[in-house]
Amino acid sequence: MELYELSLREQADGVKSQKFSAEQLFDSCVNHAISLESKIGAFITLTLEEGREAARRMDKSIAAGKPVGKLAGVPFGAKDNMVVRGIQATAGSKMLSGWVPPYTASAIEFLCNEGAVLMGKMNMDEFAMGSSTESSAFGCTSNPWDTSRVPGGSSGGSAAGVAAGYFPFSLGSDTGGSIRLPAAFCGVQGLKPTYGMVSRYGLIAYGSSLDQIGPMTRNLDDLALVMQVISAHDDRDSTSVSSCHNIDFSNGKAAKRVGFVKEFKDFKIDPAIKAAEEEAVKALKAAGVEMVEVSLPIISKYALACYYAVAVSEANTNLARFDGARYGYAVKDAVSLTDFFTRSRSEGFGVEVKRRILAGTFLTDPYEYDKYYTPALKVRHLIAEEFEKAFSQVDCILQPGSPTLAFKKGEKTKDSMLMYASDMYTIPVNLAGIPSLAVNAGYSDGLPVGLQLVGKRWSDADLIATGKVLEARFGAPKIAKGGA
Amino acid sequence: MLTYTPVIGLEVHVQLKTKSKIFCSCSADYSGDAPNSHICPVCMGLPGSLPVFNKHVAQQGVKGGLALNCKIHEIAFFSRKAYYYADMTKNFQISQDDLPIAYQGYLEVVGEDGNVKRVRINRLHIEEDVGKLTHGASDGRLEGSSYSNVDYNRAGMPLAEIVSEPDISSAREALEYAMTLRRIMRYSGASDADMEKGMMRFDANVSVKCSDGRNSKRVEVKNMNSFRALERAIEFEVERHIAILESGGDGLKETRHWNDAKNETSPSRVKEVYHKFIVEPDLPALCVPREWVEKAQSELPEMPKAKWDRFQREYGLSAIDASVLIDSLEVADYFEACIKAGASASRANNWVRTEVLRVANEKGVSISDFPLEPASLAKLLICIEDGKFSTTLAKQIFDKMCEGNKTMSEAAKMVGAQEGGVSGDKLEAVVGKIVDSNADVIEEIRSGKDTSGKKIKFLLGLVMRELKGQAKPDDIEKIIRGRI
Repeated sequence: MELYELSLREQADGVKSQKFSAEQLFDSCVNHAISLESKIGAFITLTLEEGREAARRMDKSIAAGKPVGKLAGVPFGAKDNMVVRGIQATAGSKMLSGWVPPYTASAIEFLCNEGAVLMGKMNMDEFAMGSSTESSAFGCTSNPWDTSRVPGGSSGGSAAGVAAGYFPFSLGSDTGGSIRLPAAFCGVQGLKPTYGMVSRYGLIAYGSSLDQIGPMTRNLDDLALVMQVISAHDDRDSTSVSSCHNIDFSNGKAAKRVGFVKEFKDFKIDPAIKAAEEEAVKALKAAGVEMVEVSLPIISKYALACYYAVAVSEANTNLARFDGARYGYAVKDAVSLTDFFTRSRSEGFGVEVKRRILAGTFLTDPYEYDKYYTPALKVRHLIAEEFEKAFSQVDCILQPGSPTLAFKKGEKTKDSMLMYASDMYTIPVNLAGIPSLAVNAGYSDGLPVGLQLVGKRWSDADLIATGKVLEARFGAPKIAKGGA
Repeated sequence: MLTYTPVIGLEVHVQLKTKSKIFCSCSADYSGDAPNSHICPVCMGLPGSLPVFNKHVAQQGVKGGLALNCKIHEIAFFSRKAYYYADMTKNFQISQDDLPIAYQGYLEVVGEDGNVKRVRINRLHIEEDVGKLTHGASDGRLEGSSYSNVDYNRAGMPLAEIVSEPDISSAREALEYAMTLRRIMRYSGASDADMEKGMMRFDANVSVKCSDGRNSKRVEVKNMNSFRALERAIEFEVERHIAILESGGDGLKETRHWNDAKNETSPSRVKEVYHKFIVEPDLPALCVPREWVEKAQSELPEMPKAKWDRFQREYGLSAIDASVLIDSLEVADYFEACIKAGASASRANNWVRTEVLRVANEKGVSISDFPLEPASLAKLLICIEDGKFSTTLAKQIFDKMCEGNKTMSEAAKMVGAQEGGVSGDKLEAVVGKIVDSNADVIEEIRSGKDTSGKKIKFLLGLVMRELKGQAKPDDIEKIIRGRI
C-alpha cells in the first residue's frame, strides 16, 4: 500500500512513530497528485516547495524529540478562498490577480500548529458562487470518478483532491451546500459544521451569516479529528462561539429517531439515490433506529428564495471591496473614479458573480428593501423555528445530498434555475445555522451516491456518530483511480 | 409681508476617545505616522478579515449620549452602510441604522428671541471612520485634480454621529449648537473634539419655510471645516434659499459644498449617493447593561450649563465671565482649585480669565500643562490681598514664575520686590517724605478743595511708586489722612 493511500490517522501515527518520515509521506502524496493533475486539475496553486520545507521541519522536530501535533506531517489542501500568508489567494477569480495575503486564516493556522502540511490551494467556483466549479476563472476541475463530469461545487477542488488520494483531508467552505454537494459528487465524507463552530477569520466572505469552513475526508474518524482541531476558540471572529459548547467530535451519540421529510417525497431524484436512501433506512433500522416522518412546509416552499435574498444581499456588500484600488485586478486607463471602479469590476468578475452582485444591489435598494431583504430575514427565523420543531420529534433528518449524481460538464450551466434547484437539499441548513454531514452511500455505474444527515445546532458529534452507522453499511469512501 | 424661517439640522461626527480603533487593535494614536503605516488586515478590510468590537467605544458612546440627555438602547446593533468611494476600505461602513446606541436627547441654546431653547437630538450612533483623501490640485480641491492620494491610517477610528432634529433656526443658533456640543463632549470625556486634528466634523441640512406655507427643498451642506465656516456657509445658504423662494421657485434637493475662498456653496460634483443598509452579519447585537449606563451616568462630571449657573450663583460672577471660565473643564477646575487654596473668587476670576489664559495662549500649552499650579497662583493672589504686592508687581512676579521653575520668593527677588511689603515705621517714614515734599497739595486737601479725591490718589500714587507698590493702599491713605 502506498503512503498516500493511508488514512489520516495512519499517516499521522506513522510519522510520529517514525515508521516513515514526513518528507516521504509528502512526496508520496504530492507525486501521486502531480501524476493525476493534468486529468483532474484540482489545484489553483500547488505549494510544493513550502510543503516540502514544512515536512522537513517536522522531521527535524521529531528527530530532536520535540512534541509534535495530532496531525504530524499529514498533507492537506485548502480551498482557495482561505488566506495563507505569502501564498497567492484567488477565490477562483481574476478579480484577485496577484494578491498575496499578509496573514493566515485561523482554521489553517490551527491545523499547521498541529503539524499538518499544506500541499496547495484548491480550485473552486468563483467567490464560492456555484455548484459545479465550472465558474472558476482557472477552468473546471474534473470529477476523479469520471473526468467528463463535474466534481460539484463550490469546493470542487478540495473534494476531488481527497477523492483522488492527493491528501487524506481538505478544507472546503459551505454557504448553501458547497462542501456537501461536491462531497456527494466525489464520494467523500464532508461536514458543514454548526454556524459559529469554526472561525471564519481568513475566509474570503460570500454570505457572512451562512458561510462555514468544514473538512472533507475519506472516513468519519479522520473527520472527527480534523474538526477537533479547527473548531478551537478564536477571538478574531465575533461569531465563533464553539468554546461555549466543549464538543468531543469522537464521542457523539448516534440517533435513536431519524426523520425523513414529507415534502421531499415527491421531488424528482435519480433512482440510484432513492435506492441508496432505502438501503440507509434499512441500516439505521437494523441499528435500532425509529424512522419518523417530519413536515417542513415553510422550508420546502420558501427556503430557496429566502436563501438567495439573504446570500446575494450579503455578498453584494462582501464583494464591494474588490474595486482595484488597493489590490487585485485594476484597469490602467480609467478616466474617473466611477470609470475605474466600474470597468475594473466588470472585467475582473465572472458572469455568475456579477449576476449575484446585481441581484443583491437590487434587493437592498432603499425602495425595494422592505419587499425582499427584510421579509427574507423574517422568513429565515421561521425556517430556523421549523427545524427546531422537527428536532423535538427526531434526533436528525436523513435526506439526499442532491437530486442527481454528478452531471456532465456544461449540462447544467445553460439554465441557472436548474443549477439553483440542485441546492434545494442543502440550502435550508445554512439558513438555520445547523450542521449537516454528507456521507457516501455507495456507487452507481462507477459514480458516487451521496446522502445527507441534518441535525440541530451543536449536534455535530452526534451526526458523526449516526453517520458511522451508514459508513459501516456502505464502507468508507475509496480512492478514485483518476476516472475515465 | 412674507416672513422666512430657516429650518436647519446638524449632523456632527466626533471622534471618540479610546486607546484602539473601533474594530481592531490598531492604536487610536497615529499622529505623526507615515501614511498607510498604521493599519492591519481588519481596518484595511482585506478579504477574509472580520471586525471585533472594542467595548470601550460603546462606553464612550454611552457617556456622550448621556451627556446629551439621550436614552440608551439596551440592545442596539450594527449595520453595513454600503456605497462606493475611494476613502472606503470595504466600500461599506460599519455603522448603526435602525437601533442606535443612544436616542431622543437634547441640547440647549439661546434662541433668536433670547430665551433658552432646546434643540432635540434624534440619535447618537457609533461607527467606523474612513480613510483620508488629499487631492492633487494646488488648492486641495477635487475639481481640477488629476490624482488623489488616500491615507487609511484614519480608517477604523471610532466615531459618534450625532444627528439633531431640524430645530435650529439660524446660523448663529447653529454655531452655538456646535460649540456647545463640542464643550459637552469634552466635559463628558467621550471625545477631545479637537477641531484642528479633525476630531469634529459637521454637515448641515438647510431649508427655509415661508409664511405662505411654501418650503424650499432641503439641501445638504458639506465641507465646513471650522466654526466660522459653519456659520458663514449656513448664512449663505439661507439667503440663497430665501432668494429662490422670493422668485417663486423652491430650489433643488441636492448636496452642496462650502468653498471658503469663494465664500459660497456650489453643487457637489459627486453624484447623489444611494446608501444601502443591511444588518452587519459579522457582529452580534450590542448589549448595553443597565449597570454600565448607571455607572457612566454617575461618572459624568457637572455639565457646562450647570456649572455656568453655579459659578454665577456661588461666586457672584457675571454671565460673561462665567462663560469664559466654563468653556473648558480644565479652566473651570483650575479656577476652583485657586479658590480652594484660599484666593478670593473675584481675584481668581480676573487672573484666570486674563493672565492665566494669556500665558497659556502665548506658550501654546493647555491648562493641564500650565507652568503654575493653582495653589501657587492662589498664594500670589493672597499676597495682593494682604498688600504685600501691588497688582502690577504681582503680574511681573507671575510672568517670572511662568517662565518656569521659580518659586514666588525667587521671582519676587528677580523683579526687585521685597516679600512682606512695607508697613509700620518704614511706611510712616516714606509717607512723611512725600507729604513734606507736597505741602501745597496737602493744603488743597485741608481746605476741602479735593472733592473728587483725586489729590489723595495722586499722593497715594507717589507713595506707591516710591515703595514699588509694596504696601496696602488703605494703610497709605490712612496715614496720609492722619497727616492732614
